[in-house]
Amino acid sequence: MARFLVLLLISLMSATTNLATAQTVKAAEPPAAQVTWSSLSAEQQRILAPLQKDWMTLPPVQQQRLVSAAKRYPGMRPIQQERFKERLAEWARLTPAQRSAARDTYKDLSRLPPEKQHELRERWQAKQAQKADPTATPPSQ
Amino acid sequence: MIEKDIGQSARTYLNASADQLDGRIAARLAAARQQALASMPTAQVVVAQGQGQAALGLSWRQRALIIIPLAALLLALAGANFFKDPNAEVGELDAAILTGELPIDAFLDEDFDAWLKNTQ
Repeated sequence: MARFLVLLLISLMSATTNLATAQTVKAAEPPAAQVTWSSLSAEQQRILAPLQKDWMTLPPVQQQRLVSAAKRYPGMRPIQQERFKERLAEWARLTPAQRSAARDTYKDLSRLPPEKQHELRERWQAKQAQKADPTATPPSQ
Repeated sequence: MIEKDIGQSARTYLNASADQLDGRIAARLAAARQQALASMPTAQVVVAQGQGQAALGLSWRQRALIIIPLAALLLALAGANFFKDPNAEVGELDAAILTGELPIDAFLDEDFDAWLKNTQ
């Protein structure tokens, strides 16, 4: 029985791995066709409005990711919705490498304890203040 | 605690009555116990080999009751992984960056990256 269960588990885990590999292959496939602006719902068009002009210049993968990000918009707090709309165009203008680097940095930051995240945010704000007014106190080392 | 006390009392009474058993009866009981112990593993082996049951003594039906839900669980996990949209995951991360307290510039700033690495 034990041997049978082990064999079953091995075969199922192998099947799981194969499916995961298939998923990786699927992700590596050439990107799907572009998402046309007119194919977006009225709600999506409203949320992604800052990108309307440049929408068709974006790669399909980026379009799909933006559509996925926009799905979260209704659940956001008003301040988050405001930031989303403000930063959308800037985000879309970045190169894929820059976006990838920003995601990595965000992931690293979110792994830190909240007090450390707060400390780094304050340090960043102090740096920005220093840039705007060189006579301001520089960020602590 | 009450169950334990009852158990202790029962044990005392049983031990006392066992001591009062006739020697012949005690010998027969001991022989029966030995016989039962000796036959136990043999019976399991016979069942396991002769009737296609496992060493653990589970029938095909009992095995199926374990294996089918296990297989269904693993397949569901594999299926969930297969159908998960990788763009949705990245989209979620992008939404977090676009709505967070820090501006996008911070995540591309070399100083910020260095502070982050030092903090880690």
